[in-house]
Amino acid sequence: MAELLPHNLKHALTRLREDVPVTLDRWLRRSAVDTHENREGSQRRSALAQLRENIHEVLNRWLQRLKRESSDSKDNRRRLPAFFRDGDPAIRLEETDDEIVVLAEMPGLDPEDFKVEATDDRLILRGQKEVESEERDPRYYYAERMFGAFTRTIPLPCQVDVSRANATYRNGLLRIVLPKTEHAKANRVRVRVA
Amino acid sequence: MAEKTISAPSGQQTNGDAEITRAQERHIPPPVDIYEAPGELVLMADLPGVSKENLQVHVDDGTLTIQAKAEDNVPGEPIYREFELTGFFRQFELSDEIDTEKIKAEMKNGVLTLHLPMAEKAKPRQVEVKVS
Repeated sequence: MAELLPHNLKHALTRLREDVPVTLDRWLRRSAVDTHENREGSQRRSALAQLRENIHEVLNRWLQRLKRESSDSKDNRRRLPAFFRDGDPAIRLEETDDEIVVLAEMPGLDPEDFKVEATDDRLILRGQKEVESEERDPRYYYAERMFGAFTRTIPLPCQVDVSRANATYRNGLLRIVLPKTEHAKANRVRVRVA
Repeated sequence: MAEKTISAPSGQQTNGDAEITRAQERHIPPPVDIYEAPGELVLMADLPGVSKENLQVHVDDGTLTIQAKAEDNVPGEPIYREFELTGFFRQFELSDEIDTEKIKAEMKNGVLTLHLPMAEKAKPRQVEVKVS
């Protein structure tokens, strides 16, 4: 996740963490002056004070997580595999004489968590990957795996016969075999190099 | 729990990325989550394409090693590739607090889950105070 965030986000978050409480403090003081300590004013103030606390906490947690992620995977980041990197599974397309084979890396999904739709010239993968941890808000040492909803549309290099398509999901790898239509096969041109 | 800086199997050179791409077999560090649960640490690693048989997890002298091989039986010509079906390799240094004898592993849908229980002495203990 860290590499998806703009480089200066950490800086921006740090600023925000400092600025938000100061701004809210100013509001709180002004509100105290304006309302001359009536009941409505004090309620508003306690709501603002609560908000201030919450924002501070959220920003703090986010910053800590960001810091940890960037220090942990400094030298591995470039070499991390691409799956779920930007929320979508990484794919491969292979071609044989009669078939197009699409492979998608989707570790940690159950078959009911995703859908495969195919038309004669494209394939659509849709799904949702949920966080598995039983803890509500566990303390993370490493958080590199990706979660959330994804949609990936894959244009196919030739027409396929959707009615004979076949998908299997094993070991977190989805494999879809799409037979080419007779038309697509007939259109193949072999170029001989002399 | 800290990552070991040597992140390739022994016998394989690791002097920069160029060496790794030239090695006979490529190894990728799998992305992991490691979090605290009551009495244990939980490690989850994404290993798509890896079956139970092609996975090795071992602990040697406080070093946890995850090594795996994705099945590569893809027919035909590649048209487009965003990932390689290759080897996975990653090592972590375990603290003394982990009871290495009791580590449990599960593999499901290409995700490895390791339960690393804390040794009894590392668990916080309630001390009973008797007032006489």
